[in-house]
Amino acid sequence: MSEVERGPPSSHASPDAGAAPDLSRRYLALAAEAADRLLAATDPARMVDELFALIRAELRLDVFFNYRHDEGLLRLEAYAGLTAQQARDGAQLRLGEAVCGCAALERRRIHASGVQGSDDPHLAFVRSVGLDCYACTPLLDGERLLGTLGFGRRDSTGFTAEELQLLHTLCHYVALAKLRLRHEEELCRNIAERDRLLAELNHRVRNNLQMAVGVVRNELRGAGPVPPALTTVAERLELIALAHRPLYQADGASLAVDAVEILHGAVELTTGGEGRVEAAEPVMIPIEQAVAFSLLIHALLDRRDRAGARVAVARRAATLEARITLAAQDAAAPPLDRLASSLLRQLNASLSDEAGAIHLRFPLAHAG
Amino acid sequence: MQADTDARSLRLLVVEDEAIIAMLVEDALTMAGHVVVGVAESAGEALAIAARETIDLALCDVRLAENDSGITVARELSGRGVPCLYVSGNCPTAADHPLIIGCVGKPFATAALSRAVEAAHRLAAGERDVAVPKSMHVFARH
Repeated sequence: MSEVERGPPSSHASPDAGAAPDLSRRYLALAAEAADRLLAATDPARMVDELFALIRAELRLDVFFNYRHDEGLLRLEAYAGLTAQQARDGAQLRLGEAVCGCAALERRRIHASGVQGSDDPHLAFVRSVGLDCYACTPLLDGERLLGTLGFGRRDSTGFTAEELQLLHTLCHYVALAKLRLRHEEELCRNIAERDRLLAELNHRVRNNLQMAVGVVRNELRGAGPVPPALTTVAERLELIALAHRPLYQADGASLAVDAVEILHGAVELTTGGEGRVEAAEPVMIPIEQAVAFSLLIHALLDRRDRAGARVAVARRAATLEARITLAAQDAAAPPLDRLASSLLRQLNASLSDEAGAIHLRFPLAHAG
Repeated sequence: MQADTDARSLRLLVVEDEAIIAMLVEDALTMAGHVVVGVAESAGEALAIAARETIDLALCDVRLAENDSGITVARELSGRGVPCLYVSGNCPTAADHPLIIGCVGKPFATAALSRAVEAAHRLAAGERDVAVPKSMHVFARH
């Protein structure tokens, strides 16, 4: 990017050769300190304020203007060294208007020197502010204009080449920091939007499952005699809904849910609150096995002495083991209907009668 | 003869904007022997019913029609001395009034709902060691 000079030829010179190494070290230290602060910045306007406070003494600066590009206009986002009236006068620029408007339009750095002695109309505003030299840099992301940042002095006709180099470097850092903040803001906005969508979806799924149960229960209402098949449908639908409930608290990484919580729902529904679940600790199972497990337990308790039923569940290595006992009788696995047989096959489960209890065992899908 | 607490028929208000779920709740509670004195789908309706009926307990969904909040309804009703139980897919984890007893998460087991209602009513009456269904979360009381 070339640099454009505005105003009469500058008479300012670089510092003498003997002072150069010391000056370079100071500028390097300033640039490093500025980079540190900009990397940690969280507010786009305040970070430029802080940068200005850091460099103003070393560079003898009186003023800075930081414009944000917003749909073809430059809006003053941060500034220092201006009266309130001057800030209002320069609050908004069109592209091509004044020094910063030109820097933005042409995507070029502009160094205006000898401003007070110039009659260039583009310099009218910085002249009115009392500046005699002014350097404005467009803040760019590739070719995309983010804004401009300009610094000025009242008591000097121009910046040295080293000063300009430092100012432009700092402006480049500011552009990167602003870009980072924009990306972070966009990311936060997208995450918040996704969270809202997920919460709405979650709410809809829960409500719709509950409504499906309601529709079936409504058909049972006042139907007499109640068709047994419809009762079973209603119960199974409720079981599916209940088995989904822990999904909403599922760990997103593993997509596993607690089989004990699912079992509590299934036993509560199947036994009318009279059954018991025994478990020493949570037993995490993959989501895809949860519904099948819940329906299978219901099938094994179906039309039995449900009230006193107890279901103990535990994980043994990579296998889930459920032990079902009934209050009034030795429990034996009932003849399985088509659905229960299919679920047993889906889970790759085994069923056995041992010591008056039904034992259901199946491998946990994520364990292997 | 005075019925004991467990068997007492409660007068209930259902605050729920989904008609089918409101019907399900009403049927489940009626079949358990309770009386649903009204079904409201908005805060205004709920408060109007509460102004003219004696209510032992209100069941409040959290998201209501007309962008109303069931939390606001529960706060108003509990301030008038009506115990409340949330029934929601997005259960709050706490409440700022001791008469807001807890929450039953959706989807809920129909059979467990009446037990949750009876437990909430007993807790609101100051009873301790009340058994609550697994699907019901009871708020800490300060």
